[in-house]
Amino acid sequence: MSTMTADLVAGFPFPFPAPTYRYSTNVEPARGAVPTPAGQWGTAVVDVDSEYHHELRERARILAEDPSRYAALPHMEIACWDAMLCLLRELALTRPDECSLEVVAGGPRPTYRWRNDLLGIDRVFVLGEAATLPDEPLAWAAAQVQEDVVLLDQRDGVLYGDAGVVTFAADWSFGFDVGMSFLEIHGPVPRLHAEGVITRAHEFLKRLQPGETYRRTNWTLTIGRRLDVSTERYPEWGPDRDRLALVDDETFGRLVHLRVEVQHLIRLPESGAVMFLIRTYLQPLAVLATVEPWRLRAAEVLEELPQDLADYKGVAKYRRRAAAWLRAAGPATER
Amino acid sequence: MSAPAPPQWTSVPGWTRAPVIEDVDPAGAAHVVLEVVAPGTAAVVARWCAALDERVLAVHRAPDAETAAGLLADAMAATHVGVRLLLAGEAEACLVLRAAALRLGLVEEEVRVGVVAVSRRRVRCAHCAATTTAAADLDGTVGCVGCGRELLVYPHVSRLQGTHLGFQVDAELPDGQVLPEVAEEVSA
Amino acid sequence: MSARPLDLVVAEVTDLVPGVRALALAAADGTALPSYTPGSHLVLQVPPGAERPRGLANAYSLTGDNLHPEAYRISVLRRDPADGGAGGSAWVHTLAVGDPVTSLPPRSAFAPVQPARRHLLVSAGIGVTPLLSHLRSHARWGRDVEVLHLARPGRVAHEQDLRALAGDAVTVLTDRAALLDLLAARLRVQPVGTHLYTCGPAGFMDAVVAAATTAGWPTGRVHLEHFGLEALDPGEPFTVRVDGGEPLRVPSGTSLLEALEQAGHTVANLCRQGVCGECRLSVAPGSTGLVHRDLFLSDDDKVAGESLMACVSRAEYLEVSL
Repeated sequence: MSTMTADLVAGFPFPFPAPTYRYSTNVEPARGAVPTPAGQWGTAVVDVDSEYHHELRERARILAEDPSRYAALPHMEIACWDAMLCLLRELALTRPDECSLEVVAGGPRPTYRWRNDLLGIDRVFVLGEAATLPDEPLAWAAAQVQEDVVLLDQRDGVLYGDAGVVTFAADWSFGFDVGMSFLEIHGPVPRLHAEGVITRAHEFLKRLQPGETYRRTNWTLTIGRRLDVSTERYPEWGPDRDRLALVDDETFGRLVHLRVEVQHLIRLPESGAVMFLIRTYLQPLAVLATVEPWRLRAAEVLEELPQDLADYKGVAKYRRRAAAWLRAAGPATER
Repeated sequence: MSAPAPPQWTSVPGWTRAPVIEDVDPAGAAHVVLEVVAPGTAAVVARWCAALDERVLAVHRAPDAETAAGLLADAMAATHVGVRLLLAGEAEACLVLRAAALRLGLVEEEVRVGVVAVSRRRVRCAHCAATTTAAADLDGTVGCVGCGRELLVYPHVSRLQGTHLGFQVDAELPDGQVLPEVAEEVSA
Repeated sequence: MSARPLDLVVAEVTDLVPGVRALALAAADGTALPSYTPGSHLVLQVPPGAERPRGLANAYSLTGDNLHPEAYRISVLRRDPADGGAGGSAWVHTLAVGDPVTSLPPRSAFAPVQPARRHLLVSAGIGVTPLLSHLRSHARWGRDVEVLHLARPGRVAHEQDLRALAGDAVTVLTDRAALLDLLAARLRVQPVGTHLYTCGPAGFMDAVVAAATTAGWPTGRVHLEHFGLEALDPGEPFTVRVDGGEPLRVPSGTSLLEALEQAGHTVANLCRQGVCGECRLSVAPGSTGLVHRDLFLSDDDKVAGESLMACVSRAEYLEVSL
């Protein structure tokens, strides 16, 4: 799938607002438009782009091979229905012509009609009645959006990752982590904890009220346009970090991708669960270099990145070459 | 070897790094003792029973963690809120039983441990999903019984399974080493 | 302070039992209201009045349907000043159909525990209100419940609702000692995994918690309704001077950040909730009575008093530089 597709560049959420990058609790209210030199991003909580069908097929393929990427602990029943309704509503906001959710009948267990013309779905279902859906509610909704989804149950001042669909993980394993607390999931990251970033994020999430939606961005580098860089498949993608050293510059610029996650944080009303949406965007250096402010800023950030952050992000072996590549990719007059 | 992180940040209980015999919780209304037999566990159970007198509801002994987990489910079905669970055994068995207790609906406050040894660990392979139980250090390595890969024993414990995360330790070259100049396809 | 208030209008007024008035509050623009988590409360903004020098924020539990309801329903017990009432409930009891009411969106601080095997609900008097929305959710999802309720004879507000939602699982008693005796017995026979929720006068809740502790219940299984209002206190008005300039008034209910922005200043900010650290201001000598309400500054920072987070914190008098 060509990454030169215009909408992907125009909507790319370039993640570096400053010349240096540090971890921070960079949450902000959602839905605000962020203009970029190439276009804008940010108005959609559930974002649909020209990769929609490809990524949904990829998710289905990954789940068929490894069902452990989907989990829903039994007590998350209400949260899963809650999340499904929220995802469908957001999808309808993003694509109002192709998608709609209507209440057909009210009462304690309302009946809804969901239409998604992008996938040819037209279905009437009843809240809480599993037999009225072709699959479990969270799985069914996740099969219609490009976002990874994690649902966090809040109990006794602690958030637990007790349900989710994560097929595009960046160097973690949701299948292993399901049931762990938010702080435990982020556990082995010393500098982040020392600076209180994770603890503040946890405190912030615990105070979210229904109707509040926030977002933040995260980033790393990925070799190849590979969505699934989970721990499960590390033996496949890990060695690329070494093989990369042997490729020529043209190949390097084509293979090394800036990987950006736009994460949305939403408090679901009925269950009180916190929904974490993770939407992944990839652009190779070769495309970044065609947008001059991106080319310069990405080079600055990659050069300056502290070693421990580069190690944690898994980019230590090639980030300096990536920065040099970006610098060299400029107009001939600039050296 | 990574330094232990403060307790609230880490999923690795301190009692899997060094043996700990926790005291009985005097606030419990009834106590169930579950022993996975190993050198030293009999003494732990005796100490708890002496501290509890008649408030011990039941003492169960099992040869392994799987048998103990089955006994646990029956024991919890037969009792009520107010109960406290005391687990005696090696660390790897206590991790599995704590996980079983949490899955049955107990909260952490209701579970205490008496750990007699910490040398063995259960490691779940992220790549083939097999669980390997062997003598292994945190941040050490173990051979996966399922796929044969050498796994790093990561200091990351699944709360609901009682296993450590294991992933291939040698998929990449160590820092500073490079591949020989042979044309190798990048997988992407 | 970051949540936008809701404009509501009184749609129904019903006196349930002497001293308890039920209100239905609909959206002023007639739209369906946002869904809320069971156990949530509304925070009504009580305006200043004859005996109230400044506005109050009063919390009342939501009793009705929680899924995009037509109206938010609350039941308010009138508390006289002699009983320690500050005048909020008295004001609510003056409301009539058609009157406007401003409220924060529903806040959840007393939600059912999802993995609970059974929910044991114990309430007294007006404390039944948050447990009603719990019971509606449990009825919808088929959860196991048991209810013990203490009320004064002839003053059982919501008795019909309790019976309709939980049937045989409800016991209503009018004698406090009898209820506590029954509670003591019931606390010893709950299946492993049960959680206990209680709401009522402070003395009642203390007695329930004491009974649970005696029965060996761990604290993580016992849940009380704490409305958690400290963070929502609109705060006293105060004056701020920016870089030695003209004094600027920060009214009650307006954050320092909002006041600065309204006066034309640009202040870096992101989360507007006291978490991210972007809106940190330097505090100059001469400032007094700093009230730190953020989660960003360390305890040492707060004591040193040289910084303040503009989005949530306040002071008696403030001099800052931007």
